[in-house]
Amino acid sequence: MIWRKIQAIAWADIYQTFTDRSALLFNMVSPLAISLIIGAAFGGGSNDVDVEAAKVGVLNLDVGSTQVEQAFGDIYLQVLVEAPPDGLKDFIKGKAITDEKRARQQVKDGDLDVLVVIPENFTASVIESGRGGTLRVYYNPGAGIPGDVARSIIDGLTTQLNNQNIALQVGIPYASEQAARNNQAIDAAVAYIQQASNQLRDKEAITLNRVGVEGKVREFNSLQYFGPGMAILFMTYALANGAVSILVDQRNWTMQRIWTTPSPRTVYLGGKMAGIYVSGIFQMIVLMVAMIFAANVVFGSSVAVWGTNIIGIVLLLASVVAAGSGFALVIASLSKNPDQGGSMSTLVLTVTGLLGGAFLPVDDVPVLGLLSKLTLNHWGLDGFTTLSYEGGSLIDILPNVAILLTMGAVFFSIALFQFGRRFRS
Amino acid sequence: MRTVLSITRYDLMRLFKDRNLAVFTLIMPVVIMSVLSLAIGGNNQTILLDVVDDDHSALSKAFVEQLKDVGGDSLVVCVYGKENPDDCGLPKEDGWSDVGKKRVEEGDTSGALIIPAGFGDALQQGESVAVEYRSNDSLNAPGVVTNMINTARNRVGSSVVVAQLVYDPELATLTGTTGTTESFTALYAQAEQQWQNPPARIEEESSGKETEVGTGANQSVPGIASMFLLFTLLNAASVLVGERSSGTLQRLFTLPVPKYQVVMGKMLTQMVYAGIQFIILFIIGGFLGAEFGSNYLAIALLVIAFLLCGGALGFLLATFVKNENQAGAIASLAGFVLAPLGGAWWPLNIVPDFMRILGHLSPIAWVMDGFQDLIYYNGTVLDILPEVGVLLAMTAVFGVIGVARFRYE
Repeated sequence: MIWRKIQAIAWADIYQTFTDRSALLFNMVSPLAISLIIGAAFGGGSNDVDVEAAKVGVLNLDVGSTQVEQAFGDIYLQVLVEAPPDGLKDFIKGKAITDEKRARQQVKDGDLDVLVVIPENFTASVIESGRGGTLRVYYNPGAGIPGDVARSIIDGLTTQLNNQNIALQVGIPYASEQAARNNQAIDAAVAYIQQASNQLRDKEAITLNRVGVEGKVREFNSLQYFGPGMAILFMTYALANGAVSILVDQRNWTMQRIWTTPSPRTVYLGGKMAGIYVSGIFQMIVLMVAMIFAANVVFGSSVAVWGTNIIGIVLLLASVVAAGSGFALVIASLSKNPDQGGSMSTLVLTVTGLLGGAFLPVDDVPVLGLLSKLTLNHWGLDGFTTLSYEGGSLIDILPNVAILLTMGAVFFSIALFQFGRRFRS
Repeated sequence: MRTVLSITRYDLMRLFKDRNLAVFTLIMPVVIMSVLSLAIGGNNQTILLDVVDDDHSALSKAFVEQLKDVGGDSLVVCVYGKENPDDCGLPKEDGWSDVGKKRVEEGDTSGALIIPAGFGDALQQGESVAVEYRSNDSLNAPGVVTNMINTARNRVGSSVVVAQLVYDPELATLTGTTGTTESFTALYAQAEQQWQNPPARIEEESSGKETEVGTGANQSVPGIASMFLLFTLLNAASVLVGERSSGTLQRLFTLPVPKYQVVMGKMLTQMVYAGIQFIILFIIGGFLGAEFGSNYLAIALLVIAFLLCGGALGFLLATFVKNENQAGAIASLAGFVLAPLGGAWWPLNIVPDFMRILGHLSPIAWVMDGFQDLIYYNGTVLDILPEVGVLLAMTAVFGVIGVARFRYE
């Protein structure tokens, strides 16, 4: 009988939650829309980040040298302006500059991100052993990542130039000496070094493989991070609305009317808690399905946004909603009235969401990384990314589940205690 | 006009007394701005990198030394089995297999660089070798640490490539000699020496503002402030619809003043409140390290254009919704969509072209473009006129449609 009453109260809340179109709009559409925007901005299925092309100006004053076929300044001009290679085309929008003063002003004004000035005697200085040539790079830090990319491309070109010239400066004496020692033709050996040095420009002796902690290459989908992050955040908002409805019931005397019936007060509270919990589960399931649809249909990615370990997903879902429900009830139990409950829950949940990494990862930020571990958002998000991105097993997420359930138990106890005191008074 | 101002003054006094509103419009953005400033501006923090040197050769050691050199004060290199700096928290007796994976997973270190056994030998035989960087930092790709590793491997790799000439078979034929470890080492040392003073150098000069000037705050303060200003302005829809539902608006219409003045008073309230909100948030933002340039007239123009645009959008929204709840939900949804779309959460120059174009449908993109002109490019009124123009054009479009659709009763 008591169980039936709890069911009735819970069902009333669930019905109310899922027939309130305004609440659904906020709680369901917002996280989905934000996740889709983030997915579109940072890649739905690729590890690459698309960056705006940097506006690079090249002032080439280099007159070259009779010792080389092509002036080094022309190489910069060719790569950055005239014929950027395929791999660089998307990152550089170059133009030749004739007036340095005007170009520097353009950098200041943001019309150019980076200006490269190659001096008149650059080639001659570079090839002359022990002297060295310096090119000037004038940049605007406001250009952000595109500007940084352009500077690293210029840096890379300069490294290649150095590779070639150091190979010449070290290789020619070596080849001459060895050839002379063995009575071989020095000219042929030197000519070979000159020819080989061109190929050495691009040669990489040490390459880098970026892999996950398990040593496997992973495909990252930003929805794998921001999907759970946003879903958990907006789930907590919805749970808080449900918890604040207890205060609304109290203000409207609905709660007091229920107490006039021959049922213990715990029936009312139990019903409300069950309603909040089940609503949270439903909301998360709907968002999970919607995000899987978004990842696969909208972005055409084959990445499993929530992972493939169904038992792990269910366990995490059940525990994160338990922690969220408990937390929402604590906020409501400490609020004086529904208005305060509404604003306090929005503030507290946004801050915990932010600290928990819903908007961006904060694990590596001093202090914030530690505070993050106090939030249910962190443990839920960490668990879901362990399952999806890291391909983790059930054992890997058990600590997350245990912490979330402990949080849930502690929060429910505090809320029960607080509501008990409140109802008695 | 006096009627409009009276309504505005009265409503503002009411709003200032609303503590719940203050929590949402002031405290929340300040907290978010602070956290984001810290999270995206942390350039001066020390990063730990574990290194597993399975080779223990001269070249692997040179690579590790180069990494330390590149990292400077901002990178602590923790080599397994070595006496590590105290910051590493890595006992000498621990090996990668004991604690490595856990350290990376738990964020005790940014990642682990694994130099395979045979690294030095392979390089000395003229081969190319891959080192492995294991981390969970794909979200921050390409990542600060990856850049440092790349710089170090390019540096060491460059000298290796030159030294590998000694094993070049064609050169061996031409010189009548075969490469030896000694000749490799000698050439490597010479190349290293050349790299101390490389033939081609770069001299970099910043256009004025330095990168360490609140990079995080310069994005998060105008971004989050604009987002919360938009929430306040879109909330005009809730105010209008709510007052119409409760009959307050109708009661005001019984006064001997034109109805449009009553509505204007309500709209002006939201805009003035948002303006005050902006001033407070920007003052606090200043303490967080944000800079807004020195042209206050330009800032004022930009913000007024944004307030007008957001207000007009809120007014337009009021003509599409039926009740206060719906208005609140749609206003929140619109704010949450227009903010990231318009670059309030991240700069639009790091998103794909189509997202940049789509983003400029949001007024936030234009106000952020304007702030970028002022913050980084010493912009003047003339520089932000295009952004102001677009915001005013949006205001006109939203206003005209809103007026055409608005029903007083």
